[in-house]
Parts: sequence; structure tokens; C-alpha cells
Amino acid sequence: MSEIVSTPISFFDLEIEYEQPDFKTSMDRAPVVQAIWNALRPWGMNVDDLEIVTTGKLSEQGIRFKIPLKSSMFFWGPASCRFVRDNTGWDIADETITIIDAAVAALLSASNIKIAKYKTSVIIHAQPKRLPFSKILAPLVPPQILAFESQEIKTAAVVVRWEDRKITIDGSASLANGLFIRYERDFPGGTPYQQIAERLLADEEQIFAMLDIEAEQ
Amino acid sequence: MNGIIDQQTPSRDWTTVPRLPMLHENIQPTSSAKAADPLNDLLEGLEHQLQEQDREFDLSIKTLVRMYMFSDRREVTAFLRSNRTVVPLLIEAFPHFNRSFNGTPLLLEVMAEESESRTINALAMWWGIREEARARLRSFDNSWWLENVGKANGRVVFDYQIEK
Repeated sequence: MSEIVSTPISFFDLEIEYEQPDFKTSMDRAPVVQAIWNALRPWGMNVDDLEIVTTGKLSEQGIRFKIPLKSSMFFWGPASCRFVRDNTGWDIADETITIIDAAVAALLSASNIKIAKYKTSVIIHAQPKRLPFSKILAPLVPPQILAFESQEIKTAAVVVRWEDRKITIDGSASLANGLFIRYERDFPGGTPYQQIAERLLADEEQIFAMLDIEAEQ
Repeated sequence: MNGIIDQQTPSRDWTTVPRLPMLHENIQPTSSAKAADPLNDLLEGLEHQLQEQDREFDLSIKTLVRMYMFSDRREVTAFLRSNRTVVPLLIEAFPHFNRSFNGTPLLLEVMAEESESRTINALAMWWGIREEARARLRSFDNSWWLENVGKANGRVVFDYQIEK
């Protein structure tokens, strides 16, 4: 039987890279800010939730739209934009897609931006109900390394990267007896959000099955 | 701490938007009538103090979540909110309790009682034999707990739970 885990901490991160930086719109920001503001207003934003970021490299500067009611943030910069949602889950995936769609559609309509790539990350801190997290991580350690010592491992971590995908599995630094799971995947511009969500859900199911864990209902 | 790699937290605060004070706010009193009202000053001071305490409590809970598993997050947090003196004790106890039980996961569980819960159990989840767990608990008692038991006011029980 799979180990049941709770997921007290989770977040979703989407970075959208443009085909080329859009300096013209960045110089005259008001129409884009107004368009994104209008699009995100239904989720209870107020004017104090806007932040102008003027520090860091040029690519890190831009406008940040916070949506506190949805623990979300949309950032618009000259070379990319970014959406982040905390305390996320598959039960609110449709709502997350609606918010992203609203913000990105507003940005595209008020600018000449063309999307080159979607870079997605899902981060989960999972807490097993019954087993020590190290028991769940132990099968991921190569037997050659396990053979170094006769005692049980305390913790372990694995990072695997492919051309358009990356998986990180570690002990959680935020949760007692917790697992840290981060899975990332890139998608070409034009991929429908629903398709992205389905692919990420399949990735999560694959990782959970490999770790032999199951999310608490 | 278990994490070895990766930046694991988003480090965002949804509740506050940073705002620097304007120059005039530092130089000019906002209202002389308000400043002269001692009751108003007192209430503002109390409110500020409560907010500060809430912030400190939230930070302590974040620390505890990294040390102990919560059997029921809402129930345990509610107990700790009503028994705030228990929080620093649990934080202080962690390295000793953790070392005594060789780093096994530790669980906080509010004891079910008919009226309001009066005690919280800090349990070492133990997968070995009972005798060894008993010896480890005795070692924890002798090395730290007996000297500090007075701080708990009878609200905390350190024990083990045999897991299969």
C-alpha cells in the first residue's frame, strides 16, 4: 500500500519567455498596466497590490501585480513575464488557468509580444503520515553508495535534467519529516494551458507512483 | 533541517506591501489632538504589541513545523495559541529530544479530552523495539527534561510511539 502524504506547502511557477524583448512597450507602460489591471481586478486586487520593480538586472525589472486573495503574483518584465501561485493544488487548477489566461491575454493584446516558451515548475513539500521520509528516499540512492555504510541513510537527494524537463527530490527544509519534490517542464509557445496542466498532472502522478506515495484526499 | 539542495521556499509575503515613510511623516506630528489623548495612545500601543506578538507567534510556528510533525495542523496550532509558553519550551527541547531518539520523526498531538485540551504530546515515532525506546526516553529525561519540567506547567508530555 502506498504511503499517504499531506502536502501542507506547494506552489506553482510559470515563466513565459518572449520571442524577443519588448522595449517599446516597456517604455510606455501605462496601457499595458491598465490592461492587466482590468483583467486581474475580478480577483480583488487593489491599487496597493501593484509594485514597480526598479532594482536588479534589466530583465528583473518591471511591474508586479499581487493577488493576495489567491496567493498569486503576476510579473511583467521586458523579456519575460511570470505567474506564481502559493498553496496550489489540482482542485484549483481551472481557476489558476483562468487567472493566467486573463493576465497573459491582456498583456498580449496591449503589446507586440509573442510567446516563445513556457517554463513551468511545481514545488511540493509532502509529509508522510506513517514512514520516515528517509525510507521513501532510500530506494533512490544507488546501491553502490548505499554499500558505503552499514547504517541507514539520514537523507538523500536526486536531481535529473533532460532537455525540457527536470526533477528534484530532496528532504524538505521547511517541514519536519518532509519530502521536497520539484518538477519542471518547458513547453513551446502556443501550447494550450489545459494541455500544460494535463502534462504536469501526469508528471506528478509518475513521480508519486515511483516514490510509492499517495496524496491525502 | 533535511533539505540538501535547491531553493525550496518562495519567500513571498502576501500580507504586506513594503512602503517607505514619506519625509513629512517623519518630521511632522500627524495630529496634535490625537497625540494628547493618553487613552488613544494606550490603545494604539496595545494593538501594536498584540500585532508584534502575533508576528512572533507565527514565526515560532514556522520554526516548530520544521522540527515536529503536527498530527492535526489546526488543532495543534490552536492549542499552542492558547498556551503560548509551551512554544519556546518545545523549540528548546527539540535538539535534546531529537538527539535522544537518533533523529527519528517527532510528532505533536493534542490529547483528546472532554473539555478543553490541557496537554500536548510530543511523541518520538519509533520503529525499533520498545525497550530501546524506553531507554532513550529515560536518557532524555535525565539529560534535559527533569531540569526543565517546571517550565511546562504540566502542559507537555514527552513520550514515544511505537510504529510498525
